[in-house]
Amino acid sequence: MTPMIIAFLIFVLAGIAYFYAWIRSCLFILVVFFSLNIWICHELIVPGHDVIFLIIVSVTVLLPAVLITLFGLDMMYGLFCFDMSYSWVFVWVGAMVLYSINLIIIAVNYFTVNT
Amino acid sequence: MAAKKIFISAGDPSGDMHGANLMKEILERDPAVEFHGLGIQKMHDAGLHCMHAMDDYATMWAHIIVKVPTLWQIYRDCKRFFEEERPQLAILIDYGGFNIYLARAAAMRGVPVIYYVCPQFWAYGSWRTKKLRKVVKKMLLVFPFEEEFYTGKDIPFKYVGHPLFDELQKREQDDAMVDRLKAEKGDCIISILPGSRQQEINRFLPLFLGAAEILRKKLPQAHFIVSCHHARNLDLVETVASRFGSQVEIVVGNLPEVIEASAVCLTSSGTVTLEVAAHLTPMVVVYRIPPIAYFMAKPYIETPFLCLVNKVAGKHLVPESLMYRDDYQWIADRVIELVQDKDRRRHVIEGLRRVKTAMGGTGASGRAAEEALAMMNSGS
Repeated sequence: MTPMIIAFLIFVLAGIAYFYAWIRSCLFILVVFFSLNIWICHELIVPGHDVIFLIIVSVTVLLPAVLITLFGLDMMYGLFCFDMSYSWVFVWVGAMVLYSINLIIIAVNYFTVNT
Repeated sequence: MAAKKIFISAGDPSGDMHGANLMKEILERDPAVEFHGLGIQKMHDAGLHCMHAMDDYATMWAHIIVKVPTLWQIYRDCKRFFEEERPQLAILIDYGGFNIYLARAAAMRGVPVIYYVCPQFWAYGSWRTKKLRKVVKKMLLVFPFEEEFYTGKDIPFKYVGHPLFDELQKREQDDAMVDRLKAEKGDCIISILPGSRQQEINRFLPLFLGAAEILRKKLPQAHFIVSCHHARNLDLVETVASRFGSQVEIVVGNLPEVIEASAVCLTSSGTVTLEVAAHLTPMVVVYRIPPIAYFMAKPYIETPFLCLVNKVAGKHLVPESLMYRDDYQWIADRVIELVQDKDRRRHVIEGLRRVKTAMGGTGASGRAAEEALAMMNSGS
């Protein structure tokens, strides 16, 4: 459980950094958060369910990462008519979903072993 | 001689009003101009060949998602119009979320674009000016502080003043109604102006009525009037008011009279705050958003002022709050302050007088019309 508690604290820290508009710090903290959660997810799911792991990472990490990169480019060059700041919604939802998946797998494993 | 065609687009009631005034001013100067595009009733009455009526598209936040298929169809029709009819000019009025697509579509087909009543990029997400730089030939600014914001942004601009003041000058205030309201209700009328959209009414009216419940105990002499902008929203306003069991009078229309008769207005942020300022009526301004939306938007809010009046004044002249929870007490306390503290009240009214002067008075639509015609006739 310790990595999950650390991940939760990092998540809160990222939220605080975002709220106070320390965007670079927030992005750095989120990279740490996602890396830690990808590792946890990898340990829990692989081997045996590699495809599921790849799907989870694609939806919760790669998609938000691509969107936030596009948002950064949009801020610099004004590329899209659409307001790309909505990319942040995908980042926060992705983070919460990935964390929740890890938490659920840990809980299921715990109850399976103890019953 | 072939008609001169101008494409014009507005998507909400205030844009429709400014668009109609602009069209009239252009037609006064050049009656040969034909207007095609998007608008609502007032622009239609002013002579717009309406491609789509935009009655139902003044939505906020995620509610726009359900409108996307229809807006996409409207966008395609406008694109076809640019290709087939080749208008000499496109004038886009506010409604940034959609008009920016039209600006790009027009610019890509060689139609010069004027943006009138520019989106409030100075308040949120200033990077979005880069999107306009590529497609807009000229911005017609309506607030004096926007000149400073757009300086150095590499977009030609001209400050023309706010067209609301033209509209206010044209309206004839019913003084008899003001006198009747004051005679019936006394000098302590608190008016509640929740906005014209149904979403705004659902969001702000319960908040203001909650504050009214507190005020009723602390200011027994106070009377409350809810201003209902359109008759079509009356049922909704009555339903919300009945939930609170508040004894409020609901007035449909007659906004200038309601504001004039009021001691204090409770209002959401928006253009209506300028109208309240024009009547020199003190106000409490609130904007209520869900906590998640507040969290998401917070890093990109670039102004310390929520209310246009405070932004023009350059200080917190009237009390304002961006709320993510229903803080009735805060609203009630600010109203009591404005009613009972005579010095504070006098200070606010003096400040509102200065704001009114700073906004530059009337003639904005005429100046905008001249800019539009100059661009059209120069063929750029």
